[in-house]
Order: sequence, then structure tokens, then C-alpha cells
Amino acid sequence: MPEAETAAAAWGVLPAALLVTGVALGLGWLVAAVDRVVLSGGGGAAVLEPVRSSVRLLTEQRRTTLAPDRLLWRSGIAAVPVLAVLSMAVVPIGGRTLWSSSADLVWFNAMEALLWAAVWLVGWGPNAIHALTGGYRFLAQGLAYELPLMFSLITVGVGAGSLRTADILSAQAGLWFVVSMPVAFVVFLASAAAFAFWGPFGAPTGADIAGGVTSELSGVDRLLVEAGRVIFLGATAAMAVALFLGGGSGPWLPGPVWQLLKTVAVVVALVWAGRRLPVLRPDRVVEVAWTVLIPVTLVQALVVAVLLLSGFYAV
Amino acid sequence: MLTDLSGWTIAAVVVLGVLSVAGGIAVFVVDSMARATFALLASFLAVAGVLLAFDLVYLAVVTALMMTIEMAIMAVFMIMFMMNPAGLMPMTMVHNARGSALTGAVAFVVLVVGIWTVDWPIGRTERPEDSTRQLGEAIMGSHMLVMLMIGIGLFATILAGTVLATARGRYDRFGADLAAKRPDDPIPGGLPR
Amino acid sequence: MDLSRRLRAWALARPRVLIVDAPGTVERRWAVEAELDRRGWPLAMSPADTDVLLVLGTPGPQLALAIDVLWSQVAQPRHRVDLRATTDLHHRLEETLHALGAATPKEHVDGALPARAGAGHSPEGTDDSTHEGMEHSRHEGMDHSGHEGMDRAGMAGMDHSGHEGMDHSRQEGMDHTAMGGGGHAGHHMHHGGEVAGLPMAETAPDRDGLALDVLRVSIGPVLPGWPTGLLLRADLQGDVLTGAGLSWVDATDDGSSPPADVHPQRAALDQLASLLLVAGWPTAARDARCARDGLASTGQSELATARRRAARVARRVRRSRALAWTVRGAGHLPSERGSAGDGDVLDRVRRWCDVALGADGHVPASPASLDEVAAVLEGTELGTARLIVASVALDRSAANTEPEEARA
Repeated sequence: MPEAETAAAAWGVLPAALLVTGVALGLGWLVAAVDRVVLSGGGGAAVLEPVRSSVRLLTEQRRTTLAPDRLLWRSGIAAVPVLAVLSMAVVPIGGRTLWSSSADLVWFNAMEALLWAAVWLVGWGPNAIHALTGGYRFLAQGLAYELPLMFSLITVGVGAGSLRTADILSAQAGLWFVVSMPVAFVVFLASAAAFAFWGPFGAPTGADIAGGVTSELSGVDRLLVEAGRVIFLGATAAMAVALFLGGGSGPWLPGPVWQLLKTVAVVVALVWAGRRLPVLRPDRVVEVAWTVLIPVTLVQALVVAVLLLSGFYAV
Repeated sequence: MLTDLSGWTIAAVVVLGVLSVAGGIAVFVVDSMARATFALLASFLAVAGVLLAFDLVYLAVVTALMMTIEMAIMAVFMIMFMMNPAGLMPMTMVHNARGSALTGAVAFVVLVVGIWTVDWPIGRTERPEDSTRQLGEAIMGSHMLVMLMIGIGLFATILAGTVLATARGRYDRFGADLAAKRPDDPIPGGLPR
Repeated sequence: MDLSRRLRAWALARPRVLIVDAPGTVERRWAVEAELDRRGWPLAMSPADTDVLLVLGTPGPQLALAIDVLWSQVAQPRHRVDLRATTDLHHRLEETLHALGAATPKEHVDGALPARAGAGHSPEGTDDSTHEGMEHSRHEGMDHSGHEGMDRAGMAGMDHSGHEGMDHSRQEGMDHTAMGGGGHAGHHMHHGGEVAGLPMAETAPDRDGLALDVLRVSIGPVLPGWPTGLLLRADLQGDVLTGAGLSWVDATDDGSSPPADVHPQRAALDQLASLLLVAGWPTAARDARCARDGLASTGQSELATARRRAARVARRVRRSRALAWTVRGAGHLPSERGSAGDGDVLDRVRRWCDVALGADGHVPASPASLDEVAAVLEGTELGTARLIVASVALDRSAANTEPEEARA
């Protein structure tokens, strides 16, 4: 397959990195704004609320607790948004990714895996029982969603015959992957909510533990963690568009517009659906993930593999 | 050999190599379990960086992914029920200092001698265009039997370990005659059974 | 300069509010929450999340101490409002905005003040209102006693309960006597009794028969979706409560129990709102609050709308399969009381929904006693325990007069 040009090669590393960061912030704002609108029950004015919150948090004092593990705490806090932006490096923007290798999907997955460490540290650092409980809930949930998520990513890789985002996009020229991989699509989006610990998978920041991992954060610390969460959710929605919904393909309109429209649609659908549910408690989710989701995603991968051998995909 | 690597690559490998060794040393210097765990993770991430510098992207990324999850799970098992958050209880990873120092020194000498005396094969082929594909073909082709054996062995170990560790068996859950409709678990799971 | 001030005022125009309702202020809390919802001011989850601390009524001495500790953990810029009556609510909230926006920037120039949360807040806190000044001196002293570890001698946690509940990190959070940990996978621990002034966890057998660390915590008396003034003292292993005792702070002055003429439908909706908040369903909780507030209106059409709203949210919660799946099986209470707490959390949720629907002749679930509830909490995970507490109507007047000692 022809080597697709990366954004870094096309526009230079620094402008491309700035662009990706800008898009990441935009996606994060989109997710936060839609979430706020759904939470406050309509009212278009709520779209400004994420900006307002960000400014407020920037002016707020950073607090600390008694005898925290400050090094690990601050590292975890800083890592959350950094990983979120790094995961954007392999998400196509206007058909180009910032960085391209033969293992883009694994890169995306690895950034999410590193988030395990980051979130756990945010919970561990402040030396507070509610934050610690939140950190452990995240890991328990992580053990539940990680394997289904990996299998759904592998399914996409099998269908495209490549782990490169550009190849996956071109493999969907004929038919979007969501048609033959509906299970992988749903699992991918559910995992997105899980690793952004948001909505029905928001137990790590649950109100029952006073905000969990975020319960001791104020000021810029809280801003960084919250920004990381929404950017992760936005990045995953954009990635879902690239992996399952054909990226920028569509009639009449130019590719980037289609991609934007699809991403907005996925974000709105995800937030709307997610906020219709209460938090699903991790002890319930874990059993279902291991005994139902893993076999189901394996069968999905098998179906795709058989389809591939039968020449269903034009690879 | 070193000669086909660019100056930047060599510099990156040296720096990351030093970082990984420093991370490894930090494991035994820090006084909290969490810091030891994450010093080890930092060391592994530096190794992943070395692989990335060699342009072995898949191996690098997989190393980062697996090691992070591994360290996180290790943190769960090692620290989960250690109820002093933020590592308030000082500890050390060093035991039997004299014996372990001796073992470490001997292992170091053996490895260094090995590195400098073994007749390593030198750069014979071109670098593959796509190292990920080459790796996949090796794993699923010529080395498939080995990989399958390792996979099954690891999986069996995990299952065996879990079975040995859990105190409750099916008779505890479903009664002596296994007749109970719903298992008697301290925390019910999410499946309707 | 002017621009930055206006930006600041804009940024703080929707502050997050932590409400602390002293006993007997239920109706007042509803009025305040209605006004906050109308203005779009979110409810805070913890002191770290708080801009405005809103104290309703006159808290008893112990609750007042807890509030002071909470206040010491709120980051600048912040404002405290003591609301004795809701008549001038609008005015007071406007004042709050003004005070928040006007706080001098130098208060929060340097970001992390290492000693801040530890040793009480810095003296700059005395700028805007008399509350701040008053509160400041009181709490300085108190806070020190906690930090010096003197509390372990006798004050035993009451003064820090706020601490715990919301901040859970400090001295009392870890109020154990000795540190155990001998069994930690062979890693050598330096036994020192306490580290950084905090007593360490000890070891106890867990429910699977393994020796695990156990931490003594107290949770409450101020938490989101939690009956204000309720204190849960428990031994925690991981996130599992191995011993639990419930008590009310200021339990002696039980004359101030909620008035008997509280609208049953509104009370049920309020209970549902806090339960749904704890269950992590903020949209449904918002609808429940909204219906509850609407039922207070006098106009016929508004009342009809509110009734429809109440019916909609009650049906939605009642029929939710996700909620049923996630809370089912938790917190079986003995059924000797017949109408009250029998059944699990889900049964009680559905009973609250029935009352919220306005089913005639339905006896509102009668309050459960603290000991009954505490017995059910043992062996549950922290989140489940919160759900159980949120699902029962706890009556302050039935309070144990003496705070129960947590079992070791």
C-alpha cells in the first residue's frame, strides 16, 4: 500500500503538532459542551460553560493535602492530558495523521494503557481514601474493558490488513467497517467512555465517593485532569469515525467536513446515550465484560477473519 | 552495527539506556512501594524508547502497553490492600543485602563477559521495510509453534494461579450438591444467574 | 486591569456550591437548591470542588467544627454564606458573586501553598466578610490540634469528621493506633507507629480469611447525597467496610428533627434526587429536584406541570433496567417493620417512586434506625454502602443519643 503522507511531513513537525493540539482542545471543548448541555437539560448557552470553568480553574488556588506523594500525584495529573493529546497523533485530521507508523492502532491503545498508570497515580497521590478508591475502581474497570477493546481494535486491523490508520481509511473506500463490525464499534465506544471514566463508567469519579480521583483536585490540577478526560473521549469519537465510519468519505461535501460532521454526530450520540444511564457499578460490569464481551468480540474478530479470507474486503 | 545508525539515534539510545538503568536503580532506593513500582515502569518506558529509536515501532509500543498494564496490575496486587495511601509507610525493596549484591555482581560479570566474548552475527541483511509485518509473519509463521506453546503455558499458569489462590470453590458457591440456583458470593456479579 | 477583573467575574459567575444544611432546614435547602438549579450553579462534590460554602440554619457545635474544617480545605477564591432564612436568598447570592469576583488577586498568586490545607488557611482569608474573620480564628486552633495529632488523645475524630468526609485525607482518616503491615509480601517495613503525624493502618483478617491492612475511617457528616450530620465510622479494607457504626453529630439536640408536615411527595422526590446522585445518574437527579421544586408552587398550571414531571421521573426511574441491574441485591434490610426498609435498595427505590407518583393512601416509608442500617453496611463496598444509606429515610429524632463506638 502506498505510504500516506503524514501531517508532520506535509506541514512541518511544529505546525502539525500545534494543529493536532488545537484540534484536541476543540474536540475536548465539543465533548464538554455537549455534556453540559445534556446535563443542564438543554439551553444552548451551556456551550460556553466549559470555557468559563476552565478560566475559573486557571485562577483558582491549587490545594494540597496532608502528607501527599507530591511527585507521583503531579506526574499523574500532568500525564492525563499529555496522553490524551498523544493519542491524537494517530487520529486522522483531514485524512492525515500527525505521525504514522506500522502500528498506529497499538499506539492509540498504548496511550490509553498508560492512562491506567496516570489515573491510578492521581488517586494514590493525595493520600485520601476517596481518591484512592476512585483509582482502584479505574483499574478494576480497566481490567474489564481492556481485552474487549483490544479485540475490537484487532478486528479493525484484520479487516484492513494493516494497523496503520491511513490504510484503514482506504480499506473502507467501498464499505464502512461498521457494517461488518457492529459489535467492535459498540465495544470501542463503550470503552471510550470507560477510559475517560465518564457517564455510565464514571464510577472512578462517582458522587458516592465525593468525586473519587478528582475529589482532591482544584485549580489547574483539576483543569488538566478534566481536560484530559474530555480530550480522550473526543479523540476516541474521532478515531471511531476513522476506524468504523469511513473517515472523511461521503458524497458532495469535502472530506474534512464529513469527518467533522460524523465526529460531532458520534459525540452527541455518545453523550446523549451515556447520560441516559446511571453509573454501572464496576463489580457488575467486570463479570459481564469477562464472560460476555470477550467471547462476543472474539467471535466478531473470527467473523471478520472469515470474511477477509472469503474476499469480502477489497484488500 | 552502530555505523548505520544516525547520530541522533545513538544519542537517544545512550540517554534512554542511562535513564532505564537509573529507573532500575531507583526501584531499590525509593522508600515507597508505589514509587518503586513506577520507577520500574519508567525504566521499562525508557527501554520502549530505545526500541522506538531503533524504529521498531510495534515492539516499542507493545512494550509500553504491556509494561504499563503489568505495573498497574502489580500496583493493585501489591498495594491494593495496603491502606496507607501515598506510600506513608516507608519500606524498602532490598532484602538480604549481601547475598543479593553478590548475586547481582556475578550476574553482571557473566553478562558483560558474554556480551564481549560471544561471536555475534553482524549486519547481514537490509532492514525490512515494515518491521511490524515481518514480526507478524515470523510469529504466525516459522515461530508459531513456540508462540502458541508460550501462550498456552502462560494462560495455564494464570488459571492455575487463580485456582490455587482462591479459597472458595464451586461447592462453597453452589452448595454441597451443587444444587443452588444462584451462587452464594460475597459480591454478586452482573449476570442474572 | 479592568478587563482581567471582568474576566474573573465572568469566570466566577457560575460558582460551585457546597450546601451544608443544619437539622430542621429541609424546606430551606429545597428552596436554595431550586434557586441554584435555576441559576445553573452546579452542586460541588467535595471541598476541592467548591467555590461557595452555603450553611443553612444554625449548626450544632460538632457540625460547626466540621464545617470549619471543610472551609479550611476550600481553595481560593471562595466565599462562605451563612443563611438563616431564605427570604433574602436572591440578594445573598448576588452578594456572593460580588464577593467572589472582588477578591483581590494576590490571594491566589502563588499556586500550591504546601502548608495550606494542612495547617489551616492562610490569613488572607479574612478579606470580605465577617464570617470569614470569625471563622478563621476559631478554626486555626482546631486545625492545629488535629494536625499535631492531639485529637487521638480524646477528641477522637468528631472535630475532624468534616475533614474525613470530604477530605478524607488527614489525620483522622487514618486514625489507627498502630501500624501493622508485617505480612506484606516479605517487604521490610520500618515500624514507626506513625508517619508524618498520621497513624498507619493495621492488619486484620478480611472476608476471605487473608490478613490485610485495615484503615479506620469516618465518612460524613457532609457529603453530596448524604444526610448532613450523619457520621459513618468504619474499618475499611480496600473499599470494603468490615465494621460500621452510624451516628448523628450533635445527637443530643434532637428537638430539631424535620417538621412533620413535610409534603410527602416532595420528600420522596428529594430522597430520590439524592439517591440518583449517589447512583451516578445526574440527569434523573436533576429532573427529580426540578419536580420537587415545582410541587411547591401555588399556581394551578405550574402545579400540574410539576405533577407530570414527577410522574415522568418516577416512571423513568422505576422502569430503568440499568438502575435495577446495578443496584439490585444490595442492602437487604429485615422486614419486621413491614412497611419500612424491607427488601433491597431497588425495592426501596421503587417505593420512593410510588410515593413520588402520588399514589394515594401510600404510607411513606417509615424511618429506619441507624443500627439496623449499620448492620447491613458491614461487608459491603463503599459505593454500595452509600447507595444503602441513600435509599433509607433516616430520622434524626430516632438518633442514638450517644455516638456509637466503631467496632475495631
